[in-house]
Amino acid sequence: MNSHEQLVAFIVARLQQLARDKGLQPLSLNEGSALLNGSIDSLDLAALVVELQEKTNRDPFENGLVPFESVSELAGLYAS
Amino acid sequence: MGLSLLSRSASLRDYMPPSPLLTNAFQAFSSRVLLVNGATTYSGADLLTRFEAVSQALAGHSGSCVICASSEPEDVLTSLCLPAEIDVSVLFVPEYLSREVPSLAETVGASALIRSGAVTPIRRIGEDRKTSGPSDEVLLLTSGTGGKPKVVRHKWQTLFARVRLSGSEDARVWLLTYLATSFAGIQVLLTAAVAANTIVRSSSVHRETLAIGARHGVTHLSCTPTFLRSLIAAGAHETVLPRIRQVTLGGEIADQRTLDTARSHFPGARISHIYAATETGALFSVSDARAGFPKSWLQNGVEDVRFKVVDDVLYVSSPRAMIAYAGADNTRVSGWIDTGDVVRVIEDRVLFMGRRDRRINVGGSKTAPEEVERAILEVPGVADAVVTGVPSPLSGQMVLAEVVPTEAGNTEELRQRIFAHIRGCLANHQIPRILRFRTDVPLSPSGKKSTTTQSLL
Repeated sequence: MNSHEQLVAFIVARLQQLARDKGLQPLSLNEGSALLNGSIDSLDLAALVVELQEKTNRDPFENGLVPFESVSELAGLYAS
Repeated sequence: MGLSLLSRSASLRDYMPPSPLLTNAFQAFSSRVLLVNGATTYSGADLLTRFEAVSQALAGHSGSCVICASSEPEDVLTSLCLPAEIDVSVLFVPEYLSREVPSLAETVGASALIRSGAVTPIRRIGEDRKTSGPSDEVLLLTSGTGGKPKVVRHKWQTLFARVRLSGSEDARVWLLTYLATSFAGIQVLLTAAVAANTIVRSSSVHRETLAIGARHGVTHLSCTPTFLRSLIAAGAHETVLPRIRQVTLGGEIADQRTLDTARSHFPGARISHIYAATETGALFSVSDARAGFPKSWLQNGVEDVRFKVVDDVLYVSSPRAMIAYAGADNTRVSGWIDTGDVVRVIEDRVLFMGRRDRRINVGGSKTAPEEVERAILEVPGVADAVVTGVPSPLSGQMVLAEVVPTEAGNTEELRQRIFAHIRGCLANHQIPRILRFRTDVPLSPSGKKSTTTQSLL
């Protein structure tokens, strides 16, 4: 079981690591932060989605793309 | 017939099947230990006895095909001797493909199985056989990475054509790191055995392999670059293996970093890399310690091999190539063979960039995982790296890197150094978005890096 809060924490931690991997300073992130913010690009999101799928065993994109913009909305797609 | 009948300069048409040379060597060096396989050692006399038992059990099978269904080097060696006594083709099937034996037996019309020195008839002699061709062939399997393994038909002569003969007084000890049934494994077995050199089989545990190599005084190491990196990570060094005189890399790209590492760990050894495949046979070897091969070979050819590059992929034409795949039409492959290897000419050198079928498609941009692996391997503290494409709903595929550190410790610090380095030499889409550490690199049965495109799920 993955609660909304756990997923938000996971997403934030992974985004911070992706930023560190790019040599960037820690991002200022919270539940409402937009995902594509200049520091985080579409390939970062592609990786994040793979890891969320691995963690939750859910694939919200099974039937095509689903729109999401913020950390919270992405977490919502995987919460159970 | 003695060893001296074959000179180093013999041209292809002068080569004969290796089998009489093998049995001669076993006879002439009957008390010398020629094979060490785990706790068991085999002298020349032991191998000859084993061969004679198999040969007698196969009386009446002349003109047919038999299957050596064993990866044990003693079974492969004795099967390689068979044409000295009887007129048979031999198909070599490694143990990990045992389940394929019934269908392979159908394909090649096999009449018997050889396993653990014993012969089991498959069908009644004289029964109609769907024979695949003449009975003086050796049949090898492709590694089957792209699906079912294919049966590759070779003439004994061409299989043996690049085996260098050395004097039997020159005491060499070969470490057999390849699967004995593979093209590379058979090349090592033939090279060592015709000269009555000792063959020592490696272990699947690298530390054990090092202990075995040290105990038996290994002088010749023939392996994949991945195997060498694993062995070095496990402690391989000239102080551990002080007698190493030759390191031959093959089966994968020998990049400059790995060649340099081989040189620095074995400064007294000759370092070379060979280009060969089951279908193409042995093509050439390069011993100038540089990655790739000279650009001039593209125009002039080398060792009877001709080259051309179409859409960045290397094609070869070689007199040592296979006859054909079994089951396909029996016409000899006379034209160009698509190697599937992507090459790039840089200054005076042709460099191997990667396998076409390993390329990763990240949102429409293609990348060679080998290029990413090379960049990661340049970072001090990295023992090896495997880069694969992982399916992603958003980008088609994404790049996953799994990295083996040289020593356990602060992986976060190593991670930062890896990214700092690759950001400077790779394009954005080539940079792995997931990087994980692991303790070793998975090896395929053929000793290559296991690189199946994976799903993380």
